[in-house]
Amino acid sequence: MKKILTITATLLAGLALAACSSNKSASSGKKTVEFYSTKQENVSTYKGLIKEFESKNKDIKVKLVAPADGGTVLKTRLTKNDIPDVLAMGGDFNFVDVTKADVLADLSDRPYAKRALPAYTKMLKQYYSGNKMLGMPLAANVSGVMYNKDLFKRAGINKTPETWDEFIQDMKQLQSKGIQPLAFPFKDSWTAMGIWNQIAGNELPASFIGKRKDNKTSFQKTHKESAEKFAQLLPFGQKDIVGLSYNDSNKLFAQGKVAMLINGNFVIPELVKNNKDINVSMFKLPVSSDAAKNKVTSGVDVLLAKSKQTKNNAACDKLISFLTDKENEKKYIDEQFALPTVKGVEQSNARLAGVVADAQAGNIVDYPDHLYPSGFDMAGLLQQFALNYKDGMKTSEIINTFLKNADNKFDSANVEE
Amino acid sequence: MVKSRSSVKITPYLMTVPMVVLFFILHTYPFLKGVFYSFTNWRGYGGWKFVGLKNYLYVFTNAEVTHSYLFTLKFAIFATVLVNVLSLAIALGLNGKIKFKNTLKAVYFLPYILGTLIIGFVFNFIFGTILPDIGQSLHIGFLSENILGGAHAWLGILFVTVWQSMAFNTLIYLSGLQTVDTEIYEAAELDGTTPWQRFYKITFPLIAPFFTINLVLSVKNFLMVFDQIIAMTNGGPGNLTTSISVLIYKRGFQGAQFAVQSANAVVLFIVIASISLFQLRVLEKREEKIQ
Amino acid sequence: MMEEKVMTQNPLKKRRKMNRHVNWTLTAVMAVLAIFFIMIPLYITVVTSLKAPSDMNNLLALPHKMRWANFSDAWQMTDFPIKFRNTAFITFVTIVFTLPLHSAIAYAIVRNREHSKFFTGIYYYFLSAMFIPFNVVMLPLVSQVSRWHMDNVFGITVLYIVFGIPMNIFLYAGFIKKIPLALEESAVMDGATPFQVFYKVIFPMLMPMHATVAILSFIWTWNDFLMPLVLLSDPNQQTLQLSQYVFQGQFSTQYNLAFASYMLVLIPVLIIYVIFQKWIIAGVTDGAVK
Repeated sequence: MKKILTITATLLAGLALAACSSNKSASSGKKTVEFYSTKQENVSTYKGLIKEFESKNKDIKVKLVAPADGGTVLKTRLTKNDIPDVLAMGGDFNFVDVTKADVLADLSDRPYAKRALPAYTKMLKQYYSGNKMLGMPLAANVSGVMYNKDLFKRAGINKTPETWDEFIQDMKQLQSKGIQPLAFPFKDSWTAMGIWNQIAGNELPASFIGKRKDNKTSFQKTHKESAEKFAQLLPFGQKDIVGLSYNDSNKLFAQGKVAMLINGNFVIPELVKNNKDINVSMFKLPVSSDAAKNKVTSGVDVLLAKSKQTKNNAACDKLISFLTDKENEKKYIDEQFALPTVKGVEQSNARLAGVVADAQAGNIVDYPDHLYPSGFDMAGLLQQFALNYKDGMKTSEIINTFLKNADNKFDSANVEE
Repeated sequence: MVKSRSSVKITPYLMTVPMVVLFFILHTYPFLKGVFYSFTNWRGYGGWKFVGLKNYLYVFTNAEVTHSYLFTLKFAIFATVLVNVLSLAIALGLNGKIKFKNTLKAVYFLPYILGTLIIGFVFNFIFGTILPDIGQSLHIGFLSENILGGAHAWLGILFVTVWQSMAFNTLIYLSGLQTVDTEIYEAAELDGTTPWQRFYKITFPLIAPFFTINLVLSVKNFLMVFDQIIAMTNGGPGNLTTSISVLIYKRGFQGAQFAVQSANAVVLFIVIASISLFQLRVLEKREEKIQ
Repeated sequence: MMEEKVMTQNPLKKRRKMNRHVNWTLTAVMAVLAIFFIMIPLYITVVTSLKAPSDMNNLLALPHKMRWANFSDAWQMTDFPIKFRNTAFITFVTIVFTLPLHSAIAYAIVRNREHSKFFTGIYYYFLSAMFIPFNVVMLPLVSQVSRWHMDNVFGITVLYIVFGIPMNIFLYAGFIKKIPLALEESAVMDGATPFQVFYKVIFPMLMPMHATVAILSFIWTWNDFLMPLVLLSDPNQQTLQLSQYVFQGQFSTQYNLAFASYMLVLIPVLIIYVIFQKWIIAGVTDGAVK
């Protein structure tokens, strides 16, 4: 008995020491800054930048945290009142939630604040009231259609479509050559928003959400055409329409088995990861039949925010300043095929040429879902939409159910204010 | 002598009171706080005020919440029945006159010790990649599609749950069957009864207590289903496989829904407690009757 | 009645005769089912974890060439050593504290329940707490626990130790009831204090139940996902299960890497299972049946 106890005690002490050791090394003179990212696609880029930052600032250690489903995890941390020092997140409803919790520091008097492109700081400010600067934009994204140039050539399509009808026509052309035009990664429901945002963003004015929140309009009254366009796309995807995951659809595209994906520029690094020679480029989804009216959907893909309660204020500022200086901004947008949000940096990658010009000319609309109330699961509704299509429901019925559900769910999510 | 007598009296308190206090602070107190929050509009941070029964009204009238209850109940019922029928069958098989009994027993029990999350990930790959692959090359329609991406996604989750949960229940039934004296069986065999009669008249009454244990434990676990859903469908497609636990996790930490989901948790508690109590009552009565 | 009748026949002789008839059909059925349903998914896990991405054309085939690099890559990518250390710490410490503390509670309750309302009350208190699953207390617990800085490996270990009480005292109580009082009385006569009586006389006698409780605690804490998910946000504090979830997105389409990572989590459990298989099966059975 005594022997067992002694062994146990020794083991216990050993384990306890081991568990402590990591904390000790972190606190030995160095300041630790927790850098929390809600995205996982850009982790490797962050890692590279952080390494460089740490070698330049030997007294600071940056701890990168990027969990799966980072938005939800971040909310558990709000509940715990355990706010990461520096947050990197999208300019979306997650950001709206965080600003409501009133945990972010005002950055407007920081020297790096002046670097930001005004269009994007303005975009961020519409998510909260007051004139503070709660987020420093790091990169913008742009939605559109990723297409395989080689497959387009093989199908005899020499020019990217500029109207909705041309787009449908091209897909038929691809099909006739035995090429699958689209893949829908709807098993991961958020990818459906990549399509929906482009359609609804072009079809409806941004003022819709405000009116909807005041109950002055409804999805049923205004979103029928958008839903119809969404429905028109579905026959051009894979048969097992809700069965494919985001990762698997990227793989299919990288293997040349599908001609197009509708989503955002952030997919490109994943495609390149799977096949570095993939001949991919982007064009904007031509939602309207009037080519001149089509805009690209663009928003703040990553913004950097600082916690009010951080113990290492100066270190956090150093990190944000480092990430948004011209050189590193360039590195980020090059690796992530993103659009710059800092003055004097340009995205010149040919793979993005089809959408960059529009974005830089300001021919953009914001993502409609950035203003949806949190808890309004539009992505789930679209997933259900696709599922009903797969199960052979009549299109008109699918659309009616979808719009009705959208209104119901919007109402039940819109209880907060 | 006096000293030791007082220590006789004090010792049991020393053994229990500190842990009772800890348990109260870390379990009962949060539970009571949750009940309290369910009557407020607290977001998990910041200020709050009382809102009466508003959150409960929301829980009972919200389509999303209602759906998650219906889904979870349906899931729990199917899983309980399937798991118990199959594990009883396997237990009967393992209890037969077979070779390699211990090896087979060890294999059938294996799933129980593996983490549900990882099993979910593995089956996600099997359903999403391997089965469609086989289905397409053999031209079997229903196999060639990812079941998790269809209206029957819940069947995929059910399969994985049954796959893992069977292990434990099989073991319990097996230990029940081993208490049944083979002599009784052989005597009955000589009396010319059919196997079914023997099972129904002799075996089943004797393993009734084990049946009770399995039923109570299964239902409670299945009503809590979480890990495999997060690993496989994340509640989708749509909200078809959003169980109550998934809903509390996904919505509960979203600002305004904290209080609403606290109310949901209270309702969940009432549901689980009443189902478990009801089961215990009914099954114990039936056991008495049989014996 | 029936038993008597059977006993009068010559049981020994008869049993020997019956046992010679191994039911081979049933054996085959059970073996095929085991291979098909239980072993194939595990086979897929092992095989996939050892393949190169280019070797994924036939998903069910054995790897052309073992790619052990998957394991070292997964090891590095997920920070396996830290996660393993955390999980091992949580599991081990939980068990070490659970056995003496919980058996003591059960002992105190069983021996005092009859003449003390206090202990009867505690018994029913814990029993009714079994109806409150973690999901119900999760939301308020998360905010409370972090306010007290318990959202780390140490804190979660305390939670496991405390949350295991209802189930475990239930297990211990059933066992302790069967221990005759005479043993304790004679120890008291020899001048042992009540603490000594418990730890020298009763505690060693509880060995079979200790094994059960230890095994169930091990399976629970090693495989738990929800509690670490909501409580452990610092990567240096995370457990193996949680890290599988955290890295799920970063594995992307590198299935081989992902599966190697799953294997890394499963292997310790499998090793323990192979070594202690008989104990584990017996322990779990005892736990549920008693």
